[in-house]
Amino acid sequence: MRKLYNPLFKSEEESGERNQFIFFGILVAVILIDSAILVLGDYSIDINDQLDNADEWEIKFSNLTLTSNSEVLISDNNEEIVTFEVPSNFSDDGWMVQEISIVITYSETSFGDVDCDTVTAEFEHDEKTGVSSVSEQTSGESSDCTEIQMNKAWMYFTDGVYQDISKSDAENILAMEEVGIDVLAYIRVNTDSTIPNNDDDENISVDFTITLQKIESITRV
Amino acid sequence: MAGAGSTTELVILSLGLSGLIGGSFLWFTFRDKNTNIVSRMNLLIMSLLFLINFTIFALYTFKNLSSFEGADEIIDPMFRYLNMASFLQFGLLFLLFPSPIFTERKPILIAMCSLPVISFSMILFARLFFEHWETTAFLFQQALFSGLFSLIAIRWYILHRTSDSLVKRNHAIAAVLLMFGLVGATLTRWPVIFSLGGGDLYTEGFGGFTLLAFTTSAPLFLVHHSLELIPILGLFLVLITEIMVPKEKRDKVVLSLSLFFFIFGLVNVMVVKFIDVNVDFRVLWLHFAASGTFGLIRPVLFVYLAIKFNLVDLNQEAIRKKVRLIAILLTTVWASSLFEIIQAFLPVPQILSAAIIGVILSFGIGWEQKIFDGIATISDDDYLSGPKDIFEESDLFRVAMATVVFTLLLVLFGLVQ
Repeated sequence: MRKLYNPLFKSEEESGERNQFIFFGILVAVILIDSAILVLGDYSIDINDQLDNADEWEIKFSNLTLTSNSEVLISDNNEEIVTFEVPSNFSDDGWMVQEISIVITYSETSFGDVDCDTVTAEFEHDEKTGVSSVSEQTSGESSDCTEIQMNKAWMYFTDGVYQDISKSDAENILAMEEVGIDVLAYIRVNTDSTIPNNDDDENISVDFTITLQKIESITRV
Repeated sequence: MAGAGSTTELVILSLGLSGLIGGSFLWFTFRDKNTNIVSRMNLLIMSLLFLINFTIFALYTFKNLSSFEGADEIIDPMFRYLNMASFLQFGLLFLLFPSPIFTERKPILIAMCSLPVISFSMILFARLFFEHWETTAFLFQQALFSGLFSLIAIRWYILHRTSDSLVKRNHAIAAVLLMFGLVGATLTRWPVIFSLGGGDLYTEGFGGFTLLAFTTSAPLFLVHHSLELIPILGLFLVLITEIMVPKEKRDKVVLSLSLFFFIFGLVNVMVVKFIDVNVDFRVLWLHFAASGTFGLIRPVLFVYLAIKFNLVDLNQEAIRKKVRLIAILLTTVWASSLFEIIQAFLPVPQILSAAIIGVILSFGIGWEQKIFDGIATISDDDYLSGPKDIFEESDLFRVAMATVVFTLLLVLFGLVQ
């Protein structure tokens, strides 16, 4: 009677089956170790980034506004620097700077002077991310006592479903400036006066408004 | 620098090679009646595998060169199902080569018939339980037929590689060469073991369509990855064994190939890690690492197997001449392909590259006679053993037609989804 299995496919020596068993044991061990690495290991971050690609994510955002007001007295032809520090501890919660807004107001305080002072202003800030803004007005001038408005804004994100992005991209979607930066407003006054020696300085009000944004939640759709 | 155009040129070269080998093997199968029926059955399945690859490359070329709108929607599903059809040939070859694992007709036929049933069952299973079911079915079949079935080849290797019988050693060598030929694309990604290659390497060669399936099913990813570790560990087993085996039993081809895949994997991981995904060289390299292994390396290996283990009867002068012609064409295509790769990172003027290819060919054809005669030595030592009468002559036609029908069914199934 013929045998069902090809006799060549069976080991004639004990060592053949033993070697096969050793290979199988190593295989199982490697698969277990490998699976553990995939599930728990550091590399799983890379893998997940790759594997979570091209999906839809529902992202919700939160906003927070920081304000500050300063009054400065600036003498004729002088410049003052007003600084606002965006605290770095906000980064712990993932806050990012979405908009910097500065409003400068003043009025002619010199008695009887009908010519308003000329105020020029500009601002700058530490650049940590180097991400381009979507709109900016970083300098201004006023000689008729109207307020000077300066601002710099990065893309504003609204709650919604974001398509065809990886999980990593979704987590880093806030392309804006980081917190922990100093915003410096440079303000110069030129006292234009119709009355000689009557107007040497001016009170300037500087209002900072910093809008922060962070990701509240990310959910796969 | 080379770009998508070069990728298409590589595909066209692979297309020609697959068509040539597939057609020739098919011709040998039905023409060469002197060779035993089991060898001819193996040759037939190899030819069908090449003809399916030929269709894949033809569709890829059409998709890249055609301006026909909507080509992607029609052709992409066909790729998936044609690949499933080719995985089925993997299963058949692992069952039958180097020697059928059953010695009686009925069990081997049941085993062969069960493979398409398994294939369809996997599609239905994926359809019922998985969101991205087409990709999941593809991945399951790839893992099963190229991963799990590699255990058969590895068993042949472990049982007989150090045997004192040359015929038995031939089985070990033939089995592992078959595994290299079939799952070479997986072997070029061997650093995925322990995640050495990072995330990019996992999906290399599959195309982006696998990502969604992996994303939505972590168990699928783990099962797929675990099964592809089988041939990867097999590669290490072969490499270590070939280094340690006594000199008189050493096989230079297997040693060279295992070293080749080992080094290829190292280069592969360096390319993935250090070259940006949009650089032309990386695009071409990834294509070579994945498609190139079954478009360019597999034909060389299978021609070697057919000649070395007498799957064709080289005693017949007509067949011997045709096999030599194939060997010359292989050299030609390989020289051209090599230059496509070289030109990707070292631009060489067309006229110069044509001259260099000419020089390589003249050397290749000069040495071809000697190399061919060396490989194609007809000796009893080079035959494979095993049951010879488990198939009938008409089984060849039946298997060929069943494969055609099964492949068409799969493709149609993909098109109507």
